[in-house]
Amino acid sequence: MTPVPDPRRLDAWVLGLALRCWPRSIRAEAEDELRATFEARRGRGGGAMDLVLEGLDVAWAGIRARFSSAGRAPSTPPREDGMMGTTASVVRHGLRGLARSRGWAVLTGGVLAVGVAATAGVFAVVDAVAVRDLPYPAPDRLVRIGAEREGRPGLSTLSGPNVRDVARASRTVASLAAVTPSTMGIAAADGSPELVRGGWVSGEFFATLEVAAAHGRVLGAADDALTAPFTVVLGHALARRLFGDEPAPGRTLAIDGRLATVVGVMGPDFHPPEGVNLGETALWAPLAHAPLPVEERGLAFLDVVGRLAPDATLSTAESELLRIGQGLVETHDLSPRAFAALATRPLRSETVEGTRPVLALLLAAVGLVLAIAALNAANLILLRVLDRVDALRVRMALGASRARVVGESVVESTAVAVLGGGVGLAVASAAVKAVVAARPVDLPRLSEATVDVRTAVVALGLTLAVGAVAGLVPALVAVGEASLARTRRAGSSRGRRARLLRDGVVVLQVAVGLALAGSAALVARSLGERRSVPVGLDPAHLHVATLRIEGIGGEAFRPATLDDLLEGFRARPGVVAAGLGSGSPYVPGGFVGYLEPDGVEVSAEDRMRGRVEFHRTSAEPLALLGIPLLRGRDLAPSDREDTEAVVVVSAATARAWWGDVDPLGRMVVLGGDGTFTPRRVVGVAADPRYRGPATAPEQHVWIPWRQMPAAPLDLRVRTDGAVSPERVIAEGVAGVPGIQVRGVRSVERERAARFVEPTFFTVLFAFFATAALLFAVVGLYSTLAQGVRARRTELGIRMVLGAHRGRLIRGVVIRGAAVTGAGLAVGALLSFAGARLTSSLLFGVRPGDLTAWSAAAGVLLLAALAASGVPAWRAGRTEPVRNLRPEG
Amino acid sequence: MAGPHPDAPTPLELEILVALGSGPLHGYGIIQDIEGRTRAFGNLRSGTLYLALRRLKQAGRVEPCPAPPDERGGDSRRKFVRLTEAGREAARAELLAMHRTVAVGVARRLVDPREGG
Repeated sequence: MTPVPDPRRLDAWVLGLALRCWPRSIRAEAEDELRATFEARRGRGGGAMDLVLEGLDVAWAGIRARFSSAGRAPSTPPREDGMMGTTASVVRHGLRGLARSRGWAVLTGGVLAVGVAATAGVFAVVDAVAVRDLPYPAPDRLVRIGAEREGRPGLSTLSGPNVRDVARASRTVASLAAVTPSTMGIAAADGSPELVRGGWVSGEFFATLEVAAAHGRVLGAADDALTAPFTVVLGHALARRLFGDEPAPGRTLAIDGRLATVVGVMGPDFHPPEGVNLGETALWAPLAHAPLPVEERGLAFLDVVGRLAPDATLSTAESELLRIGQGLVETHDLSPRAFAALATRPLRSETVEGTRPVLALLLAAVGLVLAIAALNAANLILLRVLDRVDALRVRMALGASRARVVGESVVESTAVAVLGGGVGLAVASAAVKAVVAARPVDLPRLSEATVDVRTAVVALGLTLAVGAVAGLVPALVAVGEASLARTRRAGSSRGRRARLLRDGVVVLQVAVGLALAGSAALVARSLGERRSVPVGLDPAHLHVATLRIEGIGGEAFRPATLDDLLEGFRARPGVVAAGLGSGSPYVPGGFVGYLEPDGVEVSAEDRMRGRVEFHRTSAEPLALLGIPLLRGRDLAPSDREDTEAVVVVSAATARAWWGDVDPLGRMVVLGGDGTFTPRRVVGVAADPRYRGPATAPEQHVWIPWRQMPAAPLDLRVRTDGAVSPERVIAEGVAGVPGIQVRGVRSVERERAARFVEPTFFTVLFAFFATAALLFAVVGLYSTLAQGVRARRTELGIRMVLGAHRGRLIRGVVIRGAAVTGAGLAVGALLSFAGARLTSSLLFGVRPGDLTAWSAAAGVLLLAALAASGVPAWRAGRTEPVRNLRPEG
Repeated sequence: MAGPHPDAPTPLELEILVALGSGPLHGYGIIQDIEGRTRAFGNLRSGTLYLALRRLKQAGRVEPCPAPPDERGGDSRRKFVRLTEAGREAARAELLAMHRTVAVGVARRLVDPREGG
């Protein structure tokens, strides 16, 4: 663009730059003299290299002057330096310019702030969940070891003897630990009992992870023996809760009624590995002391974590374990359904498996948001510089140097970028903290998410770059033109170029806006579809605990005892409802069978295929679980051993076995319960969809537990959310002899773990896409509006020449619409490419859904019309002559 | 190493003082004079020269002065400087010290005085 520069001009420019290095105090004095000498030296010739060296020498001398006695202020006061300012004054001027246009600064900074906040926040989460190394030494050497099963994905757990055999036989796995999570009832000497999630771990656990205790020691092989004293290591938070600031090692703790000595406390940074189901465990005790059948080869319940030997790789370990596994299968005749092959996976991928695609999509969405934000900010900065070109020219005509004008522009845009980025980071940091605290979704390692220094540096660096480049490039262009002293002619060519640039930006913004807005509309529609399918159950604050009732048929098992127990629970503060049931909704503990409705022919094949889930329950199970009753009644307290046998069936069950016939009042025999008792259907319930809305509803039948006494029941308690369910349950059974509870599970958690309903991600994604749409609309508006404003002179001239007002307005609007149309076309292509990405998030909506896309396109088109229409109308209304006045 | 006391002029400062021995000069005049006598400072560039001049001014060894009659009408931005008494004295002391060193070197046959020139 700039033609071959006049060498004298180049000299002056280099010297001007070099002079910036001189301290302000002596620069004024030094400048004339330096300039004279510099020019004299340059006057005798010398190439570009000589010029560079000369410039560097002046710059370097200036820097030395700052740090030497030569830099002391001279005795004579410095002259005012006029237009040639120093670095400090450039900064001052730049910031002053910023203060003058606060609206612009807030808009630009705000756009960047939202972009940075979204990006940094999501990056922090993704980083913690999927990217960051596991918090152990050499984390890549850690593997999970388990059995592959026939026809089942993932790795299964192993039995104690198999673990021992693998450990003994393997050369590629240097160290290997077996673990299993468990809910433990614990009590410190002077505290009330509580239930916590803990882990039974073999003696090699801490050595395998290569972690040490913060206080005391970790468990070792010596602790993991029945003959050894019962010892336990506590997590940081639990130790504080139990013992306060007093040292925990040496203290005694009752675990499930047995006394254990605390030997160590882990540091606050220790996170037990989630890949082997120890996530959120708070204490760890030796496996040898666990009341579990560790010595049964047929009972595989141990998760295994191993550390590869230094010379082993994942593939050598893989092949060795496969061989060891084959040996185990042959020696012990293991069933391929439970043990097909021994396999190993990196612990890290086991930890985040399943969440990765969602996270990738989230990152992509957020990347687009940041891109749009950066584009918008750059665009705003660019427009401001272009707007001020005339003012810049005036200043340069008055003697301001190019470097100074460009410098001020860069200072301005950089300051805005830094402010925006800083605010964005602060928001992101607070938001991530809130998300971690609220834990709206069960993501492994979410608790480790923070906006750390790396995130901050990357985000700030990015915004800085955007600010600096966006300020530098247009300023250089503008200044380059200004200095060519062809202002008249340049005016038109600059206008054309600026307009082209603006059009390009609009096309790009509309394209990205459409892609994101369309995706947002799709996701929103999908969310609506998903919501419209009743989940059929309310999991909020619902908890399930396994009841241990001593002596089936004994005193504790009498119905009256259990009724009292439930009554006691219902009376406790914070308890909304309580009941008994087999298993929890998402991890059923009942059995599966078929139905033989009275008067309906059931084929042998139907019996084989019967997938009816039978639930033994106390009275009013539907009310407790929040399942709507469609017809008839819920099970009642009056359904007892001595009254008529009754059941409640779900709608899907009714359809499957009775067809169009209303089953209410009809008799049915439960196939598979062995009693052949005819039971009367007294109610039909809405379908609870435990497998999620995407699959066909399952079949359920609820049976009063008194009419089918069998295996132990589970306790179900719904709280108001304000009390600790563990505490409420522990206290509720404390006074009832012969009854204990184990393993308090949150139904909400089980539901999240069971079918990964991506609600959280869907909402998050929709939020980002909406933000992006908003950006696109704002960007579009500002771009088109400023474009129209820049053409006001032209419009005014045409109006003076007699052009019809409406026609002018129409022309502007049509132009805006045309550019927008081009953007929509490009956006359609972009969305087509991205459709595969979103389809995994969608439910009941196709990626090509016309409604969603036309809605998005419509919004953008409307915004485009408003963006060009409003300023055009305003331009049409003002006096033509006023429009001819150049802007300052 | 610098001279025996901290106020000893640096080699470049000494050359400047010597250059000014012929009368007032402006910056580029000094460069021309020095470059005409020695290549010890390579291409003596404006920044380096200015810094050295500035130190000499602060030490009171040179001072600004009006342009000599034959230079009037030239570039008005050129600042002429001349030696002060202190500058003359500093140059003298340093040159004497050097002279002594040279004499010893000659006596010890390190150098033949006829080589120079």
